[in-house]
Amino acid sequence: MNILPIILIDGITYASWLFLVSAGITFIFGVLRILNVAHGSLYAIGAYLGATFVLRFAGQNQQSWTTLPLLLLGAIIVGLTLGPLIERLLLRRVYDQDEVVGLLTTFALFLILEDVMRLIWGIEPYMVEGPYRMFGRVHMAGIAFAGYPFVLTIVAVLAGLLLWFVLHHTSFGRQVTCVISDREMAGALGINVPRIDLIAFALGTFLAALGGAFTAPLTSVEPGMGVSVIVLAFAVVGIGGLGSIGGAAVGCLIVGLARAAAVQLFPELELVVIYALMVAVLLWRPQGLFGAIELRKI
Amino acid sequence: MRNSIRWIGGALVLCAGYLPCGPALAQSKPSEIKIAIVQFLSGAAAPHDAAAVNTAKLLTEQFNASGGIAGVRLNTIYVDEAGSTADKVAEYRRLVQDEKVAIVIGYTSSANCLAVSPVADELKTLTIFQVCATYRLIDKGVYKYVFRTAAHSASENIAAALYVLARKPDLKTIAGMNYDYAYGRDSWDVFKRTILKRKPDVQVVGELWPKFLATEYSSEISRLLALKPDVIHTVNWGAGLTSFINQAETRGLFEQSFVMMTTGLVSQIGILPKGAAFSGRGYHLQHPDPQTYAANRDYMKSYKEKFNAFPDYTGYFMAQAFYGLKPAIEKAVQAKNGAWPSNEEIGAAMEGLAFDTPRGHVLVRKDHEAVNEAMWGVTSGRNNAELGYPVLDDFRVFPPADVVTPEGKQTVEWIESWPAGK
Repeated sequence: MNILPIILIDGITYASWLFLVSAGITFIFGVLRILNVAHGSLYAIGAYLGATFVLRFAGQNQQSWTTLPLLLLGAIIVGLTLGPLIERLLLRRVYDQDEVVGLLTTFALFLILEDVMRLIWGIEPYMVEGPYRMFGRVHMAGIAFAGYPFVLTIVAVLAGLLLWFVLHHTSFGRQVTCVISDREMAGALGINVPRIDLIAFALGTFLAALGGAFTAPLTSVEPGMGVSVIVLAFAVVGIGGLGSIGGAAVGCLIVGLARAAAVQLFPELELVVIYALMVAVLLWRPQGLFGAIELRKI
Repeated sequence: MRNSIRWIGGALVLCAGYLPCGPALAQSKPSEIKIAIVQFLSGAAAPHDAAAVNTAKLLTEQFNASGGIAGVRLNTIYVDEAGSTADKVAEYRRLVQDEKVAIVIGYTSSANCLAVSPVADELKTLTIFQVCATYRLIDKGVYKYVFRTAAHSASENIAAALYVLARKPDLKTIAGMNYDYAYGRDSWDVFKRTILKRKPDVQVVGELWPKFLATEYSSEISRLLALKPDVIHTVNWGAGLTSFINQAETRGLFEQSFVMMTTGLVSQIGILPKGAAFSGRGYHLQHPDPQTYAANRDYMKSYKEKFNAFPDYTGYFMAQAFYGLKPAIEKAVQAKNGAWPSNEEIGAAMEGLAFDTPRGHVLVRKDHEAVNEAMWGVTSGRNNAELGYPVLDDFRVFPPADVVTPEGKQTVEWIESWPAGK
């Protein structure tokens, strides 16, 4: 059996999932210069809310197309409510502080949100495997693949295209680019920087929740699901370069293909390969593959 | 006057800190038996331990309603096991020295039970590991104050090998897909060794090591589909197992290979296709038969009534700890003609103790290891007509003599000492 096409398919579908769960981190860092440790919690809340909607409104008929808009709705609600709330109440107070303060603030938020989720949803797992099973299987390269990961690939590509379109072809995107380049100058030119910050964080939160909501059918939604994702997401954006959406996409592809190749050829290296890649890239380019070297104002 | 107050205060401090004023150390009957239940209350392992915590609460209520143990009420406190192993050791000291707990029950993580054991001996505190799976604990030697009230994980993996060899005498290929940590690696090693010892011509075609609690298995399932092993062994649990089941079933892995899951919760049986092998570290909803064995039926019913769910194996294991502790204390009290025993004396009473629990008859050996049966079956898609639990078909129970490492032997050496091919 030729394993090359299997590695390619597995690598690309895994990369798509990785992109969905990590694009928000790199986008928020790019705009706000905050490494959002609470990203994992927002991802988990997206999963919980998406699962709740599917269980509530789709009921026993989980293998239905209506579940996909329900998952999306969960992500949108998290983006529209928690995103602005967190930005207004917490993050706005730490932009002028050292970066480590932002890191610690979001870490504290992560711990708080983990307990809040436990209070709201308890510790029993939520299972919404219907959408995953609905897409059945596709036969390629001599084996069966699930159809749902290809749906995730489409969602990831759409999310990437949406980000690209917003950043490069809208007035908001141009303002974001100005804020990224120089916050003070952008403010002096009349750009409403606090508004850009708020919308950017809400968009990043939506991306985190979108990743979680569309992961819910893959797994059981339960406590701790955000923790393991955050480590992986940091590795990916570290490879691609913090703040670069294109870098995150390339980082995801590299990690996805390397992991798929390791499982097929050297299973013992499955865990090591991702972090070994990260170390190698950071030794070569400490700013990541697509990260810009930052000039410090003095 | 001031001097008197100082003296009295000093005496009180001494009493609190050094003298045997703690409830279980006192030779007169204590006002309560304070027990710390250390289980995962948060994080990814919390759903796994939920039934254990629920059972501890249920049995504390039930025991206290009937007068406690030897006439003394139980006071159980619940402590989160989440955190680093170093934290757990520090917390163990805090529980004993500051909270003054008399007995500690718990520790799901093998790393935690290995780390806590020497401290239990140092602090002379009776400690019961009710679920800790590692066979390395006993391989390291016997700790005076540490007991395990359920057989370690080697038993269900040896039973898995015996079960599959009985079902598939023409078995040719096996593969493992286990979390990359001690429990995953040790369990696969025991299963593989047992298979190869009993049937040396079996080929190991794949050994996959996904990340602990991984939820994305596309590459692993592709590899297993490409390898086409007759049997796949996994000890994955929690969200990782649910994810694996969903993804593997959709891609037809269960149709191609006989998948054996040693560790799983009742809720996960509901999403499995028919014909998958399930042990759940002992499927006690079905054995001992609750329709004829009252202890199991009563526990299952009272648990379901209180928590609206069937107890997972972790619940049965917690019940096993409580039902072991009770006769041990009662035996020790009787041996002292009604006087309250020390922890050392309760421990001595537990050695060689045989007792009945909801999951059947259990013996705690002189080496502080429990022996009990192991069991396997395959999913049927049916529920029991009267009690409603999911039924496993081709259900086989393996006696301790066949699957539990004998006293004084190490697991790997014991398996290797078997005659080859028999």
